[in-house]
Amino acid sequence: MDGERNLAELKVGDEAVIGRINTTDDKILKKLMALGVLPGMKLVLLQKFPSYVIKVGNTRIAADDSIARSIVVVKK
Amino acid sequence: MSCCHQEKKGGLFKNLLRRNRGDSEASEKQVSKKKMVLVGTPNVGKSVIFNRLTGVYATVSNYPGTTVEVFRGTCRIGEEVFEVVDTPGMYSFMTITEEERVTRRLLFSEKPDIILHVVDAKNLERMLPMTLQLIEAGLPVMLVVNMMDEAQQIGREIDIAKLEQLLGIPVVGTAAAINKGMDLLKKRVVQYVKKRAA
Amino acid sequence: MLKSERLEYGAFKYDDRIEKAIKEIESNLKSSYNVSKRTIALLLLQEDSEIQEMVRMRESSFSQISEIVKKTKMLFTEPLYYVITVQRQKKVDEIVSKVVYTRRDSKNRLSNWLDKITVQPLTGIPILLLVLYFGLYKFVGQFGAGTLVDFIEGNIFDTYVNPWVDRMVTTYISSEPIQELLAKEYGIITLGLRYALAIILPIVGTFFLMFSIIEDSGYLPRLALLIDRVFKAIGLNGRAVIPMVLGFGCDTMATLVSRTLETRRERILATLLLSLAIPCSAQLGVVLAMLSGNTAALLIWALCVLLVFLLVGFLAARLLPGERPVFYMEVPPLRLPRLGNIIEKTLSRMQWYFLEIVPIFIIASVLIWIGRMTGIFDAIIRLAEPLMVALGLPPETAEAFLFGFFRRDYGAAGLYDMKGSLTWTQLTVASVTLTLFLPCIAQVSVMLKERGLMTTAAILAFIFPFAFLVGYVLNLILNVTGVVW
Ligand SMILES: Nc1nc2c(ncn2[C@@H]2O[C@H](COP(=O)(O)OP(=O)(O)OP(=O)(O)O)[C@@H](O)[C@H]2O)c(=O)[nH]1
Ligand SMILES: [Mg+2]
Repeated sequence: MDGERNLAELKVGDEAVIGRINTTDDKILKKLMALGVLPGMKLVLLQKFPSYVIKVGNTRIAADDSIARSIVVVKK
Repeated sequence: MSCCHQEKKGGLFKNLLRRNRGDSEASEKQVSKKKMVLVGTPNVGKSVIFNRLTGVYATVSNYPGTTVEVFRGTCRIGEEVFEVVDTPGMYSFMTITEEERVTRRLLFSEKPDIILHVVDAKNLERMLPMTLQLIEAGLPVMLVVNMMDEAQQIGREIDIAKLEQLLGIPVVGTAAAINKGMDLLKKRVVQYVKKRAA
Repeated sequence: MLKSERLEYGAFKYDDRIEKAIKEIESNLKSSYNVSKRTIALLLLQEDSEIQEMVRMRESSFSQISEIVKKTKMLFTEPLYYVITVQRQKKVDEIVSKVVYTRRDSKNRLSNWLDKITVQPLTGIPILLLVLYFGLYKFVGQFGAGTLVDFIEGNIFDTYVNPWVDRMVTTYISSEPIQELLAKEYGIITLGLRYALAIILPIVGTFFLMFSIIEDSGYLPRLALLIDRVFKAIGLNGRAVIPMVLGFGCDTMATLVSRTLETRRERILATLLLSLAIPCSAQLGVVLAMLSGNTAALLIWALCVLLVFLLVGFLAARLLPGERPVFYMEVPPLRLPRLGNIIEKTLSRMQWYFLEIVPIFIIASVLIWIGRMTGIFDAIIRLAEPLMVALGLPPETAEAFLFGFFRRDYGAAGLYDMKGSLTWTQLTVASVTLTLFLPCIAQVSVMLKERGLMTTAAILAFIFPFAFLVGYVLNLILNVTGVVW
């Protein structure tokens, strides 16, 4: 455990546990939760450019920078 | 991609050709139709199941958001005749996009005799929350765990009987794209509707 | 009683504070709903605006309910939908842990590899170009619009159908106007049906076939994430790739699919770009066939349309107020397309397309016939002639543009018919102008339904003069720079 960081601060291939969603935009929070991006879930960062791609469970999710920065993770 | 004109014309045309199969207008009127609604997250195979049940082609594509309009067809299982409704996928009960709202409004306004909640076996943990919500809503829901073939490929086994017992609703495993489990699905649907009527 | 009803209140409980609020709200809900009061209460706690509106209309005690929601919100630091979702997920995880067993984490090397190379720019862009080159240019452009059209039009219509129809009509029908309605230069059969069957159908068919394969493979969401950054510049997000690409099949379907975009602003932008700068498959195929003899002309056409797409998108995004779009999308696994689905989808789309265009082609033929009989047709063409001259086109091209009013592809087909008498510059200018020119009648009707009268009118009022302006400027540039063939 070495503290919180957002997705943008991870390296491709890193695994981490989602800590919380840090956003002021209600819709983003709701959508991420609906997609199963919830605190406590494990994620793998697959790609950062041109878009972020993460894997949560067996689901792959593409997202842009603003969303990636709102996903706060705790690195394993 | 689904367009009202497209599918409806296609459906009509096919229904005309398939009159002898028993889903023609005349026989529909004799028996009172039961309503079956397919709901679930986008891209889980609702439209494949709809096609298999009704013989009417609703567009199937490999991306979320293929179906954007409600789509209706008819299916006959034994004695029972069903009006089958295919809906746009919806990520949660808290809707965000227009096509999701279409589905929720339908659920809240029509009175289905059975709701098939279609989920992806690979992503059960992400999709069961909606099952709980449907149960919570007091709706007549049955769970269809689809894409069992793909789950198996990634080494995932699902204890359907146990799931049924834990949820307290009927659960069927299918791989609709390769036509597996569809007969069982139909059987369970009829059982469920009969029991509810009794 | 029913199993499901037993579970409704029994099996799954949220924490006490939420349950208490649910009870209180439930007791305030007096009218009957199609779903349980528990669900209504939960959605109210999560401040779902549609449900709030519904309850406000129906319950006299709405203010009490709002109070309960407010009080409950104070008990938590996080928003209530977050709290509720997390608690529900906990229950789900508990269930899943009892029913799911994972034997091994088997990995399919090939599909993993394919997955990687489609989403990384270094390999993804060349793959996109390959798809465009082989799928669009070779298969649709050269095979569909070239080989197939030549065969059906040249070998079937020109050699058999048209002469036969002309002969039948002159033998059995004495009235000259009726002869012209059915046959000859502008007849329903010799022009309307020929366009539909010989030019449009093969092109649309090959396009839909190729497109179905791409759709079923799962490539489109990967394209979406690859191209998101570009789309952000024009006020859209990667998600809009799907309606845009669909537009290359049929802009009418695509306008309907733009529903999947989240904000009104994005939907308007997508509708505008679809009706302006995305040629539908029929139009695209005709243009590809027409210009494929001259690579420079084809490139100029493509570049022009792409530039207009980006420029208009960029400017419109600056002008239209609204929130910045965000992009997130589930990326489904790559799947091997199933032959049955591809065939069925292609056929059903062709059937739909055909049923849609044939009546319009026939109506168009009839209207043109009326126009010609009454002299209105000639008058309109004469009116439009100065416009054509301004674009450096021969006056007869006005006809193609007039056809274009009915359907864009009809216009393109009209142009295709006269390609022998035009220079490359003229063909390029006419193709660009016709591509940008008004959307077809079917598309306008979907625009009206989905976006409303004002938006549609504004879009059309912009497109009409703008298309000619672009044609005019292009003609000037081609002439001034001396690129005249
Ligand atoms: N391997 C496998 N693929 C399936 C199965 N069921 C559906 N698919 C594929 O999953 C994709 C999505 O199927 P659809 O029926 O379009 O999904 P949908 O639920 O209607 O999706 P939306 O209309 O977007 O809500 C298609 O590519 C299908 O071929 C299945 O049981 N096994
Ligand atoms: Mg569907």
